[in-house]
Amino acid sequence: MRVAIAAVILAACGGDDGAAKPDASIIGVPGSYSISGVVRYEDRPAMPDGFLGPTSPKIARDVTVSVIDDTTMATLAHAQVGDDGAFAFTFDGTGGAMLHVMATTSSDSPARPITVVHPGTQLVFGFGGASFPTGLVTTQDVLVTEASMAAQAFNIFDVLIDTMDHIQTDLGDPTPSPLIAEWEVGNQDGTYYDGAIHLLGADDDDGYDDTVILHESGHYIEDTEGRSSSNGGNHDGSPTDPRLAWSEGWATYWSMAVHGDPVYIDTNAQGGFSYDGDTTIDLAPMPAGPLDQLVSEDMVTEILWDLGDAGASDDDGVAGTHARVEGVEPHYLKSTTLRAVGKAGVDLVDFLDGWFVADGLGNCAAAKAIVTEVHKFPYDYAGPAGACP
Amino acid sequence: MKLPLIVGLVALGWGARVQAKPTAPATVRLDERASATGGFDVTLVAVATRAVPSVELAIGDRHATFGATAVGQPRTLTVHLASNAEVHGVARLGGRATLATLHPRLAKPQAFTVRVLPNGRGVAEVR
Repeated sequence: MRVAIAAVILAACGGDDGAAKPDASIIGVPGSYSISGVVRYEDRPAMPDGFLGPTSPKIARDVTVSVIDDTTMATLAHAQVGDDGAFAFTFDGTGGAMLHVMATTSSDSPARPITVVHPGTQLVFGFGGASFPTGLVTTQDVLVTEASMAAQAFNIFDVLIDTMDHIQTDLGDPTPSPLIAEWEVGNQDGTYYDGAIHLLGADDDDGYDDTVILHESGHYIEDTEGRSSSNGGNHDGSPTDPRLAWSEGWATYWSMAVHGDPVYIDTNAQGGFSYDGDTTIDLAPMPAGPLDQLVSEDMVTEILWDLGDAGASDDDGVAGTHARVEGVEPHYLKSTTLRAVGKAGVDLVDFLDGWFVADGLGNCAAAKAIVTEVHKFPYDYAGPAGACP
Repeated sequence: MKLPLIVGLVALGWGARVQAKPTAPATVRLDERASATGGFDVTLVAVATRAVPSVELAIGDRHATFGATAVGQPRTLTVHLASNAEVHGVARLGGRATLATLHPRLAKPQAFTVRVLPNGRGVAEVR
């Protein structure tokens, strides 16, 4: 019972100064030893003024943790932490041999199949904690520092956990498709989704911009759980192809719905911007115009938020749920034959058709107030759910 | 003619679509030229891609605010710098902001150790 003996010895040493006292009796002795601790990373909040706030430690959920022998480089133990970031290993080793704990941005969990990698090499981000002697230290926390240039990767991983959990709770899919995100300091490839998430904006790398990360994961949702007809490209809030407006407006809405906060923030070194999808009102350019007119992605986001929010802060007549709004992607848009109105392909018209199928016609008047009266979008209220009275 | 069909299908896949993040309605760049009095003049140029009620430009702590700006209308802010160091300029319009950087600081490559996890996944470990 080497573990028990080591624990007793450490307890007897007191540990007032936090430093382990050498115990010569276990040095060089093969046996079963243990180590436990918590993995955290340095996070920075995105502030409404478009700058990042100060660092603070945050639990690193579900990351993979390994115990590495510093001399042989062998992996002595390997597991995923839970949502508390805690790990506890018992492993075969040699007393006094120097080890360290390494945390990595990958998960083998079927519910959270996330990997955050370096572009090019596709190597997972790993952070190694301080070395410690086997058996003489039994608790060793790990803090992934910003200075190591790995903390942002751990933040991306943690934010994407929220997307994965939302897929399960709100979309009903317990085993989401694998998701890879690439991040790197100094890379100028930009931020986008093309089957993987790329967060490579040089001085605007988005590693701490949670809502930007979630926006790109909104495209992953379309890709894997729903459907998109957008051809992509740049978008600046101006009226644009309704399929592009739908896709981008949906992605921004997803970024807000996952955290239940209608504020999107994109920071950068000189000060970025924030956008409130609840209080901002964008209008359709032609209230009496066609269903396939060019519209702003922001108008799409604002309509979706108002259909999904509820409670004391709700400023519209629909006491909705985000799950009902989000569920239109997998339950309607993904496989339903769309009406031959509006633009061919998925746009806001098709979403509204699907939302009325899910919600029924009981909220027609309140939905009309949002869509037609506030945002001036000329939806025809004649989808497959039936005509609104 | 199978090949064009296959190419067309590939082009429709997600790999061919780039879903970028929201940007400001402007093209933004930083221009630099040596000053006759020494140092460098750096100019932030923002060209609106749609009409906006106002434009704000900033380089470091220097700011300039402009009123209504038409599509294609450039707005500029010039600052004098002693050296051609890294410079950030930002344009805020249409409720959004876009950053431009001159002489971007190359990230110092982090020394890392490549390890292979038991599941075969490669890791770049920093400490």
